[in-house]
Amino acid sequence: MKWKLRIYLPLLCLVGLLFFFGKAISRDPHKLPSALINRAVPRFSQPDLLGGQRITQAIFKGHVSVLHVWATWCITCQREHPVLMDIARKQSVAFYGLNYKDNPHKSRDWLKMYGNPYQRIISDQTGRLGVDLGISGTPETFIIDQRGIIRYKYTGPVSLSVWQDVLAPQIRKWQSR
Amino acid sequence: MFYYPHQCFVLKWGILLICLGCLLHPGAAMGNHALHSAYPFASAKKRARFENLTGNLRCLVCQNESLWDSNAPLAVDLRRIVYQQVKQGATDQAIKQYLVARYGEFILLQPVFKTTTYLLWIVPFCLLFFSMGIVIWWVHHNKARTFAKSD
Repeated sequence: MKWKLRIYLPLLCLVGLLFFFGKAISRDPHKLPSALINRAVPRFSQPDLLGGQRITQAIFKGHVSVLHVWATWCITCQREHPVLMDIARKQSVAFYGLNYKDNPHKSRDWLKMYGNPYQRIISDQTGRLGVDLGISGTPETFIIDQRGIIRYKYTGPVSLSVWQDVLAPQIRKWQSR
Repeated sequence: MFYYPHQCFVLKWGILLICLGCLLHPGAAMGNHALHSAYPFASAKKRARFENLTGNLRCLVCQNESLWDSNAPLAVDLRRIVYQQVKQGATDQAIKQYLVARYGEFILLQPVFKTTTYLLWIVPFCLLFFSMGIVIWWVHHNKARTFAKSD
């Protein structure tokens, strides 16, 4: 029996390695876990893209919010936009935008052309707020609870199924707390 | 294959030296010399710290490049933040903690050595010694068989 194991051992090792390689290769390397889960939104004061008073972290207090990070230079954001318009129409949650490293004029024109799903839009031209939020790309979506604590981060475009299967349940969960 | 003992000797020790050289190679790549003028430092020591730090931090967009090498917009932003903090006198540890607090430990190119990463650090060495052991045993086993046959 001993000699049989010696023959099959390299094969078993290979199968084991292939299993782990397969798991690693099928991961999306840009879907990084957020380091800010269960931590408060960092303090900030940024201009409102559409003018008016500056926006601070106080905007998230008192209700569950969705913060969506987007930019006009992000093609994926453009493709997911109709879904966001749909979500905004349902009005079940505070829906905010973070205009990330973008030209404010371009962004305002873009929203006029394609519609504005956001109740308020934080303008982060330099990307400094993005660094504080651990943003590594667009689009990204944060779910923030009533106390201003980040509870969930989704990396990637928001499709209808992503909204229904991933984000909406999280929102309901934190709304019921 | 080997007619003279010294060939085997040279091969064995040559391979070992190459392996050691690979292990001791520093993490920072110094290829991006154009960056020197974009990040002026009064002191050479601070510049060295800046290069070393950014060389050991990962670009999260081009994930196999360091912040020193990458030209992704996020890397440019993070390089500038590291530059400002080094200029202001923050320690290496503080700067790393600042970035890890925002991006997680993945941003460090060298994983932190702690209980959850013991395996990550130790397994490669274990595998190396294990396979060396098998090769040595196999060669010894074959030598013994050849000698036995030639009797």
